[in-house]
Amino acid sequence: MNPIVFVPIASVTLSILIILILDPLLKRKEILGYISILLVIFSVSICIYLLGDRKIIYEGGIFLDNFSNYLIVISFFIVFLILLISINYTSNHSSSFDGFYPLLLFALSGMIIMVSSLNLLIIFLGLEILSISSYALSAIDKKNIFSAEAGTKYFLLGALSSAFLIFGIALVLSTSKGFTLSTSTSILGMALILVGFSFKLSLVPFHAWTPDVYEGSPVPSTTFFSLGPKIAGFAVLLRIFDLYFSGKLPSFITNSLWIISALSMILGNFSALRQRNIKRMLAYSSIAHSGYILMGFLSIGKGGEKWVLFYLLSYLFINGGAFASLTALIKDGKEYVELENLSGLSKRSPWLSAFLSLFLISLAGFPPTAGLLAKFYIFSNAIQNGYFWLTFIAIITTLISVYYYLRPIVFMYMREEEGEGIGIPGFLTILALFIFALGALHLGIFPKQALYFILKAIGYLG
Amino acid sequence: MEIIRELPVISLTIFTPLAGAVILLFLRGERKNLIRGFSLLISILTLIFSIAIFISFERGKSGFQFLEKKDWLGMGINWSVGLDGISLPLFLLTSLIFPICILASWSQIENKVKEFHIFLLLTETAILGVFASLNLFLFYVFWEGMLIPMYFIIGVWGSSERIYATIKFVLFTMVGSLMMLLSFFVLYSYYFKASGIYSFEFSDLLSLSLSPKIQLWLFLGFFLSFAIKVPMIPFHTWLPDAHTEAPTAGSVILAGVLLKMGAYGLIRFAFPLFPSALEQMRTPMIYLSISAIIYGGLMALAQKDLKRLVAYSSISHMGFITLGLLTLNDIGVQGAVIQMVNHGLSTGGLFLIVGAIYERTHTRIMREMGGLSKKLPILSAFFVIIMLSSIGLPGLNGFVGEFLIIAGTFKINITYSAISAFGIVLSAAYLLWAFQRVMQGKAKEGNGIRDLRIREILYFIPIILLIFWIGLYPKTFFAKMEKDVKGTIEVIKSKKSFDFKELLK
Repeated sequence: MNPIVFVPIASVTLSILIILILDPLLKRKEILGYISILLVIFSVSICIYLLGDRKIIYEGGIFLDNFSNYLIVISFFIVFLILLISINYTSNHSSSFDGFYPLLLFALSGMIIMVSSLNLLIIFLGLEILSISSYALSAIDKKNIFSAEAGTKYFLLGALSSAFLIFGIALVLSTSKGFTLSTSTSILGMALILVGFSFKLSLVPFHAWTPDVYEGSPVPSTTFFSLGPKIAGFAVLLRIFDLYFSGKLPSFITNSLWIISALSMILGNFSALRQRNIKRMLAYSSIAHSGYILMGFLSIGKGGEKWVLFYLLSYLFINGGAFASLTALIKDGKEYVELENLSGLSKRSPWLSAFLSLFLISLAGFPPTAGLLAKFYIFSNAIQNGYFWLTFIAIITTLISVYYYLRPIVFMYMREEEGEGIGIPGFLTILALFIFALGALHLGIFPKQALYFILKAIGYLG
Repeated sequence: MEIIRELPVISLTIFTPLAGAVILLFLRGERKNLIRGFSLLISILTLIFSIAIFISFERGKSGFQFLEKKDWLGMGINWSVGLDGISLPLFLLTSLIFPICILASWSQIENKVKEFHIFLLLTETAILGVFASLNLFLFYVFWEGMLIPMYFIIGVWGSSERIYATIKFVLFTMVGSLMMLLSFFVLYSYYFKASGIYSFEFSDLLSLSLSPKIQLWLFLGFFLSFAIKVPMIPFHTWLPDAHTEAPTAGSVILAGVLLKMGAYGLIRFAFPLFPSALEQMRTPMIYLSISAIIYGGLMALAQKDLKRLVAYSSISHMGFITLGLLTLNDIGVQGAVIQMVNHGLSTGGLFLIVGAIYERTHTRIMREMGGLSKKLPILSAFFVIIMLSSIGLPGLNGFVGEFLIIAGTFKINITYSAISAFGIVLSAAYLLWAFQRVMQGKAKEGNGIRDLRIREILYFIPIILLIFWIGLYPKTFFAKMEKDVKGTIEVIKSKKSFDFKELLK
């Protein structure tokens, strides 16, 4: 047994312990945030240094290869960015946000456990750690009743989805030998696993919790929900499908994927059209994006994997950036995230508006941003594998999405100013937004480096 | 001029405005004249590059020159640019229009000057890229890349109904371009199936022969995108709004070069790639063109707003251009290509006139003007020249293009040419009537109106010069485009016969 196999999990657990010990000792909670950032940077450096390109297996259920290592780094990166945006946000907010940083690190440990195993039970364990921390993160704004509502909703529906998931896992594990699905019962198990994941990934028709939870939770938590569970969830689902179906999905599964994907795109985009609240609008938009990502699952084994991972990476930057921009829309300790609150924002904070516009046009899929390439790769791959009509739906719904993505820009740049004092981002937020924007542009213009890492990560997928 | 052939001169021209825009980001917004001067400098530098390209372009050769090809994203997506006789005049026109736009907005844009010039320069990069791309994906990137800066230019600096106009503009364009993207994907996967290689290269895709049925569907995707941009009837409804609500520079860009992107796309990509679909669609498209000529003219006749009048005249003139392209004979297509340049100059010029008048009278309604020629003699002289060029007076540029188009149409059908000649009569009617209402008659009150300043005269001069140049000596342009127009028509015709053979098997 190689002890390095425990490094990722151990480093995060140690960080959590340090934070928990320091928490009662420190009066100013920002310092806790800075310490968390340092710990995250330190842990990820150790992981990159020790793991490198190595493939390490521990029979107890840990499996580290390039795919896991890539996702571990991505998970650290997500949490790092969330920490950056949350320090300014929490210090401007009227609620105290006790326990925010340790919970975020707990969620990180869940993500890491999830991606570093091939054993369904351990994946479930990781997913549950991630989910339970997420429930708490969503209810963390004690002064806001909607935050409590969001937490409750997230918890109840999340628990339901866990039930589906665990039942599916039980069916699969009891009937399959190794990674081969022999009977129809095990296919049913996989379908239930798909249902369970669809809840977590907010795919239609299992999406109902998403808008309320995204709207009610404080922005840094929302940003985390739109990145962490989604990216880790999709990646793990990709790996499970690839392992158990070894590149050939049964038609039962592809048909369900087709329908779920089409419904998510249609319902997500059409519902987003009517929203006045930007968080809610982005929540529906993220449902739609889940639909686009799921399109790539249809061509697993035919080149779909790498484009799914590329989409997830682009999504990290553009969707994360869009949510992160909202952290600056805070005044007197309250969030102001209605469309009207953006009026004339370009005058008050030109950089914030420029960044938010960049993320929105990237979400809409305009060049030269990551959004276009991500969509391009997925769509052209789908066409090559014969999914013309699904691509057609995807393209039509993309068109619809242009309307609502451009609407905040109308308010920021083309309306007169109102609502003074909202939207002055702090230094760390600007730094985070800069990183998001850099990623969005870099992936859109020079995607080759990112693709190199992605190809290395799915090396085992073939 | 040898050295120019060795440099990646097209990339240089395309990226100069982009580099300018990036530098502008870091200039302080309060220093308005510095920003204007700097953008002017950048756009003139771009113009110098493209004039150098134009001069060193070898006339005897057919095919693309100054080719550059570098791997960009892999999977057949390359940075591949080049110019031939069809795209060269448009490339030059684009780089000429932008310095003019910057000069024209010098006193008209006072608000958010920095952002305005950034968007202007970004638009220039995108449009130059559209005319030079030889890779379909690259073409799409530039085609879409133009949309966002234009969205801002219309939406932020436009007049009262700007938000409605700009959203309509973006959504219309997006419908088309996404359908085109879908066609690209299908074409791409067919090419992969046929050859085992991923490629978006225009030259590769040209060798692909598809069944007429598939061609028709793919052609419709391309056609929708280009027809919306041209715009052909019935996809034209975005144009009057966008042109009217945009600031002067925006209208000049829209009329001057953006509309040409559609016509250019038809002759460069849609026709050669899908010749048998073209054969099926040709007659309906000719009908659409002719009805655009007549409809645009009649609508222009009915307008009260001068800017809207020019916008509708644009629809009518673009009808001529698509008609010329559809003749598929040397005369007609050459006429259409030169008419693209002419229309850029004359309609762009008319929008500049409207802008200059609006700056002085603060109205665009013709009834509220009148007798301006006494107060604005220079402006009025320019108006006359540009108007006559737009009508097609012999000796001015418009005549050359319209004459060739009608002559080309005559070869295929006399009735078509007779009806489209009636369009010229209409254009004489609405423009002369507009001139009479605006410039002649009794002067309305409103003293203190100044005639054109030196800066304003400066930007009319290149337009006027080119109007006479093309009118009197069009050979400068024809000599460079002749071979390539012939070549393109040959490609369209030869591929068509090949496809029929395939059908007979």
